[in-house]
Amino acid sequence: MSDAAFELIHESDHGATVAGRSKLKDGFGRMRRNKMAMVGLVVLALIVLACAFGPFVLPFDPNQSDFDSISIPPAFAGGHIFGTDDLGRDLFARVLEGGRTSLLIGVLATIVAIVIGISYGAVAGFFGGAVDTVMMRIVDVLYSLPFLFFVIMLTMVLGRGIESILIAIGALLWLTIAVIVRGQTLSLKHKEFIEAARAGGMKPFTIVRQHIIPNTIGPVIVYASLLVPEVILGESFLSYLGLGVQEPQSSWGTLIDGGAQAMDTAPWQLIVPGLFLAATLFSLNFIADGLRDAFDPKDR
Amino acid sequence: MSEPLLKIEDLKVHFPMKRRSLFGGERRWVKALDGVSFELAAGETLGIVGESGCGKSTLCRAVLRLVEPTGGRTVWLGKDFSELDGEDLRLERRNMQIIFQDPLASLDPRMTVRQIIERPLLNFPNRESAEERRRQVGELMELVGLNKAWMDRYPHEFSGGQCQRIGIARALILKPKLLVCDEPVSALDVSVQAQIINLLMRLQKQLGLSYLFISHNLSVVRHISHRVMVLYLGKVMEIAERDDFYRRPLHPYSQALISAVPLPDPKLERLKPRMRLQGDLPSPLNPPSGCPFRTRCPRATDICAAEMPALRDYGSGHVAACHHIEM
Amino acid sequence: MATTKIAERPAAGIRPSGTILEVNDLKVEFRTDSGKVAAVNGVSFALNAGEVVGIVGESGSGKSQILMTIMGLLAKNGSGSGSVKLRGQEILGMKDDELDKLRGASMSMIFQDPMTSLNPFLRVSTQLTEVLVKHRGMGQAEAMKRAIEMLDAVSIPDAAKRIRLYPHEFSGGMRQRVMISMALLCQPSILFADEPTTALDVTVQAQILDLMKDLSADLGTTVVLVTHDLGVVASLCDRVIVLYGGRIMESGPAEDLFANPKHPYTRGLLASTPRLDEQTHGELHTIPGQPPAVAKEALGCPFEPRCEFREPRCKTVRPVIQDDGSRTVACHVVSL
Repeated sequence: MSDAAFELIHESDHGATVAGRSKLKDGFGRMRRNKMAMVGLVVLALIVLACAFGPFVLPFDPNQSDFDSISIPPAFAGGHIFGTDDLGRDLFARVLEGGRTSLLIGVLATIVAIVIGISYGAVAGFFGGAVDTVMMRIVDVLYSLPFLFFVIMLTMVLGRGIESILIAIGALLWLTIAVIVRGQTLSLKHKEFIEAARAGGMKPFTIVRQHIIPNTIGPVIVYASLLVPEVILGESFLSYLGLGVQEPQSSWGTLIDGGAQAMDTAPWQLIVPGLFLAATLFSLNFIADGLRDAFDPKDR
Repeated sequence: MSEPLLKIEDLKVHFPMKRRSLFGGERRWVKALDGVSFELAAGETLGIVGESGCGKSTLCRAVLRLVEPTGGRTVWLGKDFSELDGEDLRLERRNMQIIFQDPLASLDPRMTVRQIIERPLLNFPNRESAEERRRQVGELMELVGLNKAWMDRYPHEFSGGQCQRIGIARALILKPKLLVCDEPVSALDVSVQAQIINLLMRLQKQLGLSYLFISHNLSVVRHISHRVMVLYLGKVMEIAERDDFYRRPLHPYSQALISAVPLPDPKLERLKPRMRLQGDLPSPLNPPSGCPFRTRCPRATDICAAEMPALRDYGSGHVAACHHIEM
Repeated sequence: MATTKIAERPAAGIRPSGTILEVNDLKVEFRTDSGKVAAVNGVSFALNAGEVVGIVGESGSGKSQILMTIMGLLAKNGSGSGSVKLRGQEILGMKDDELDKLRGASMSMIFQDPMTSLNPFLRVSTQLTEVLVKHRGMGQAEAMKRAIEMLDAVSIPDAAKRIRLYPHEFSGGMRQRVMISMALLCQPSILFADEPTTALDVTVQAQILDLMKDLSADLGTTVVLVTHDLGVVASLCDRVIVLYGGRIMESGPAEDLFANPKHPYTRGLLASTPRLDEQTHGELHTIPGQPPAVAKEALGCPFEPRCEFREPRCKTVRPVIQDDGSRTVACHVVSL
C-alpha cells in the first residue's frame, strides 16, 4: 500500500526489535540506570537471602543459649560475629531469624493489602454512584478506627502473636491503596480507550479487570514499596510494645526492644538489629524512589 | 424510499448542574443537546460541524448510548434503540463503533496491538480459536495499512497516524454498519490527515459503511461527507446535501463559518468578502432564549429572541432553522 | 448588534523596510535519556521590519523551538548554537537579565494556550500594568490608563470594567486578545506567535487573525507566526518559510510560494490539504509515511524517506540552499 505507514517511531532509536517494549519493560530499564535504586535492590537482596538461608548456614541456633557466652560483644574470635544477647544466644542468628519474621509480615501484609485494595478501589471508582458512596463511607469508618485500640482489642480476642498483628495491620493497610486506586480509576474511566471498550460491548466487570486494574498497578507498586517498610516498622513498634511477636520467636522489633533495655551495658544488642532494620528501610525507600521516577506518568 | 439506517428524533441530553443552595431553587441544566433530529442512510457520510459547546461530541456518544439521552428517540435498523437494555443493548453494539480524536489515548497502553484489535472478538465469543483470531487481526491490520508483523508491539511505539489506524482496525473487527468518527484527524499532522481520510473513504466503499463524521474542519468535512449538518449550542441550524451546503449555505451561522475558514491561497484570501461575527460563543450553561445564535447574528430581530425557529425545508432536503432566510 | 465587515489586507510595500532580525545557522539540541536530540538543524533567515512571516511545519519540524531559542525560553536541557542578531546585536547566549530588558519591550511572544501564559491568580490589570511599570517605568495610574486603551484596541468590550477580572473569567477568544494586548503593550519591534489560533474555534480564529493583521499594520510590528495551518499563513503572511525535520525546505513571498511551490514537501503538503473550495472529491494526494518524531542530525535531506523524487545523493549529501533574492529552496532535484 503506497500510503502504509512504514516506520515505527522507536525503531530507529533502539534498533530493530521483534517483540514490542511495553511501558513496564521501558520503566524497569530506566530503573536499572538509577544507581541508588540499584544499590537498594542489591542490599535488600542480600538481606533477604541472609534471612532466608542464613540460619541454615550459621553454626549457631538462634534459640540455643550458651551460658558460657552471655553478652559477649562482637568479635571474630569465638564465632559470634555480632556478639550474643543476655541469654547467650548468637545475635547474628537471632537477627536473621527475626528478619524472617519481620520481612514475612511486611511482604505478606502488603500483598494482602494490595489485592484487597486494588479490587475494592477499582470497583468503587468504576461503578460510581451509590456503590462508590457506600464503599467509600465504609473506608472512612475504618480509617477512623484508632489503630492501637484496634490491635489491643484483637489481641484480647485472639491472643498475642503474629496472627493478631497480621490481621490488624492487614485490615487497615488496604485502605489507602483503595483510595489511591479509586482516584486513578476515576480519571481512567473517562479516557477514550475505556469508552472504546464500552462501545465494543465489553462487560463492566471485564473492563475493570482487563483495562482498569492493569493501568493502576504502576502507582500501586510504588506505593507498595513504601508500605513494606511501614509494615515492618509497625510490627516492630507493636512488638516493642509487647503486643506482637512473643518469645521465643523474635522479630526486629522484639530484638530492638531487648537491645534498648541493655543499651548501657551491651549497646551492640541494640545497634545490630537497628542497623539491619535501617538498612532494609533505606533500601526499600530507594527502590520506591527509583520505581516512582522510572514509572513517572510524564514519561515520553 | 428505503428505511434509513439510523433515525434520530428530537434527541436531548441534559446534564443536571448542582443546585445552588440546599433549599429548593430551580434545578439548572446544561443542555448539551436540545432536540436534534436527522437521518442517516446506509453507505452515507453525514458530516457534523460546529464549534465549542455545539454538542457534537455529546451527540456521537448519545447515539451510541455511551451517554444516556434524557429525551428523544433513536431508531436503528427499524428498531427502537433507546428502549434496549442490558444484554440486548450490548449485543446491538456490534453494529455501531466509534473512533476518537486522540489516537494514543484511545488505546490501552498496557496491551499489544494484537490484544487491542482482537478484544472486541472476545467480548462476543464465537468459538474462534486463538489462531483464527490472530488471522483476523492480521487481515484487518493489512486492510488499514499496517504491517501485521507489528502486532505484538505497544501503542506508544507507533505514531499518531498509525495509532489511528489501529483504532480503526479495532472498530471494524466486528463488521459494524455504522462508524461514529469523533474528530478522527484533528490531532494528526496535515500530511498524515490525508492518508487517514483516504483510508476512511476507501473503507466506506469497500465495506458499505455509514459514517457520522464529527469535525470542526469544514474543508475535511467537504471532502468526505455526502450531507452536512450544522449544530450550535445543542440545536440543529442547517442540514443539506454537501455541494448544496457549500455553494448555497442558507443559515447565517453556516455562512459565517464558511467565510471564516482561511483558504490556502493568499490571492483568494485577500479578495474574499468577509462575514465576521461579533462576540464570543455563549456558554452552554446560559444559552440565549429563542434562537441560540441570535446574540451574534447580523440578521437578528425581536422574533429571534422570542421564538426558536423550526427547521423548514427549502427544497431537495435542504433544511434550516432561521426566521430570516434569504434565498 | 453585529455588523459585517469587509476588510482587505493592505498591499505589501507600504511597510517600513530594513533588516531587524538575522538568524544564522541556528542549531538547537536537547540532552535526553536517549542521548542528544537535534530539534533545529541549521536554520538561517532574515526578517525585515514590518513583515509578517509565517513559519510552517508539522511535528518534529522544530518550528516552536526556533521561537523559544530566540526569546531565550529554551528548556534547561536545551542549547542553541549559531547566531541570532536583533538589530545587529547578538542575543543568542545572552544572560537572562540582559534578555529580560529585551523581552516584552523589543520582542514579545504569544502562545497557543492563553490559559497557561496568563497567571490565574492575578487580575488581568495587575499583569498588564506590571509590564508597563517594569519596561516603561510608568506610574501605576498611567500604566492602568494605557492598559485599558490597549484592551480597547483589541476589542474587549467594557475594557475599564473587565480589566479587573481574572483570566478564567474570560472566554477563550477573549483570553487570546488579552494575551495579544499584553504582548503589544510596549509596542515591541517583533511579535512571535506560536500557534496563536490553533486552539480557537474557527469563527473566533477569524476575528483574532483580523485583529493581528490590523494591529501589526497600525503599529508597524514585525510578526513571526508559527503554525501548521496553511490557510492561516495564506490569510495573514507576506512571506513564508517551510520547515521540515529541523531545516528550511523552502521560503518566499506568500503569493508566489502558494502559486508556484517548488520543494516536493511544499507541493505535497498543498496537494494533500483538502480545500474548502474544492470541486472534486476523489482520493487526496498523500505524502507517504509520517513526519519524524524528532529531527535527526541527518546527513542528507530530512525529507528524503518520504520524497517521491528522491535520488541516491539525497540520502547522503545535504542540499545546497538555492537563493534568487526572493525565493529559496533546499533540494537536489528541483531548481529555482
